[in-house]
Amino acid sequence: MEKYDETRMDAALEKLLTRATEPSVPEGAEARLMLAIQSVGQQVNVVPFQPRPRIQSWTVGLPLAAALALGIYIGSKDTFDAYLPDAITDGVSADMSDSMPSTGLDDAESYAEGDVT
Amino acid sequence: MLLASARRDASAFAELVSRYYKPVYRMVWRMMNGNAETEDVAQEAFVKLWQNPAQIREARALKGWLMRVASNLAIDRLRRKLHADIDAIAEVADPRQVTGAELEEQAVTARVNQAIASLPERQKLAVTLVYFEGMSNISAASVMEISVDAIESLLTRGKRALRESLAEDWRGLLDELSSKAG
Repeated sequence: MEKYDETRMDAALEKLLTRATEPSVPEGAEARLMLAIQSVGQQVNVVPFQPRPRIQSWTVGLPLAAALALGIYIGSKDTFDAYLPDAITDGVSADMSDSMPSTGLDDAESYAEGDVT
Repeated sequence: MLLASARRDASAFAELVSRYYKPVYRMVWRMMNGNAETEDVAQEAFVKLWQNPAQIREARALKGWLMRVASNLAIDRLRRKLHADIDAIAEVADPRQVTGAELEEQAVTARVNQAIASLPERQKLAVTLVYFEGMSNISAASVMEISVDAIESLLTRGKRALRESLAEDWRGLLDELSSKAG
């Protein structure tokens, strides 16, 4: 075995394999197969794959972008403030008018002096 | 054709049969070592296709699918049998009067058949698909549902086993073939 190199052995093997029996299809085998299928039904227990229709991205993206732009525009104007509940607009104005936000520092002095009422 | 077959068009299915029956039959014959049940197994693979053609989504996958189903059926059938009739290959009779040279040729054929039949199932399937059916390693790997590396490994081991078993008895023949190849 050692005296044969790999390539020669492969070539020899391939030639040897060509000497294997070449099977021939028996006479009438295909006709018998066609007769066999006449006697069996078809099953439909597997649903053929249907590719999902592709959604055009711009048909979704465009309305979303328009809605966002409109939202920003409306938010930057006072046009619709009259339609908003008072609780929202009053709260905002009250917060804005409070120039001295409570930090708790004044209370700290009181605590330091012992006035803890 | 596949779509027509799915609509129970027998003539379209007959066209598929005429195109793919021979390679399927040959592969099953080799896997079953020339067993008499070869035709049954090949037929069963096509009947499975007829019963449920929706399993194939692309026409180009059809041959691979048939080969895979038929080889699995052949292996299952072989495993069910206690004794695979390996010797049946050597019993193929030629009705003609044969000369001494032809007898020698038949003996070589019998030895090669025997060596192939003796391969483990998966090595035999790999060798059959690639060497006898001329499939690429990629296609054969797809049929066997393994990686290309795995099929190359099977082929290497299969060839080594064939070389060893044939070289034992046919060293002279290998010498002759090897010198011609060189």
